Amino acid sequence: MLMHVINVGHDVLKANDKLAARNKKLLDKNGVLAINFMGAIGSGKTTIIEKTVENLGSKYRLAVIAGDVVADMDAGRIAKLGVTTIPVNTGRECHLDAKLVEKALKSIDLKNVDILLMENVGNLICPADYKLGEHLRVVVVSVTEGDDIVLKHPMIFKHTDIAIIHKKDLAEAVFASAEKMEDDAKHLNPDIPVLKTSIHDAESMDKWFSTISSMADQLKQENKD
Amino acid sequence: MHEYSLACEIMDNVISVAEENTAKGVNSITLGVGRLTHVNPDQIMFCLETLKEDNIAKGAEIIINEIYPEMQCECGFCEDAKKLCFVDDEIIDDIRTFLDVQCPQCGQTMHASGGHELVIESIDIEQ
Repeated sequence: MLMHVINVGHDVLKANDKLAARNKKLLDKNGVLAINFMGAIGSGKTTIIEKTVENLGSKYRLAVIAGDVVADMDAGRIAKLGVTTIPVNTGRECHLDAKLVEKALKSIDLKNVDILLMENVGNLICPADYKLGEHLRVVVVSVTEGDDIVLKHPMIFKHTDIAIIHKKDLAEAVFASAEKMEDDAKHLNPDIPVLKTSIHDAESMDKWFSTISSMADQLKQENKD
Repeated sequence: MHEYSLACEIMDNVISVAEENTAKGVNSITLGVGRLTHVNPDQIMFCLETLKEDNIAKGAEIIINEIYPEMQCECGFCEDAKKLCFVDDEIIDDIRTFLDVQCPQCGQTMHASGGHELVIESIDIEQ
């Protein structure tokens, strides 16, 4: 019998990256700014998306992909606001991947969308490894998760473009320091904007809305040029 | 728990490579797992050990090599990150080891390159 070593060299995670690059190309072709919202269960991802839809819905054409392991509660909450919402059930998976997003993109009229908000599954670990084709990665973390949460999950903060420290108004009640969390995020990723937000502080939310609108406007301008 | 679906994808690939090469059996499967991924090598091993039982890879040995990133500095200094994982011969199994490393030459924070792989390096088949 013959024994034979075959060099395979197939990278299973890179296969996702390739698919993500294809998604991004499709989004670029249609001038869509895609945002991947990552964060733990209960960090406030869905609420921030709802507020973003309410605030930017009149200026931009929005669509939402809402990922959940099972059920479509989040998608239902967002769809109530009258925006195209595609629920994605990952089944047994703890994260969205490029293949699931590719499928979801088929049900969206991309030509008529300016900003696509993608809500990942509540998890600070696996989503860090999976690109979806997004332009912007946003990590939402709340003070109620404890103020050492940033340092406990360095990879996701290392590979994000914006960090949101949410529910800052609750910090005192849970003995957490939003400032410590901000410092930790800046330490891991010195170049990114870190926003401290609360839905009860309109000014803090406005900072987030203006960050997103200026990025969407910039992408539109780049597409025109 | 995404190790199971990654293991399924690995096994599908192994089976198709084995079939393309008209293999009669698979002796071993060698994987490389990057130290900066969140993939747990023990779980991948467990899933593959289970999955291989009902296909051509039955009985195959599963070998997992860890892939370390290379630490690079703007000043041009580079070092294999593996060297950073040992303190007095004891291995530090912490992803943070690679994220906050000062360059021994100039003191700047070094950048980790690579270590994000989950690669089927090779399979050893019987023809």
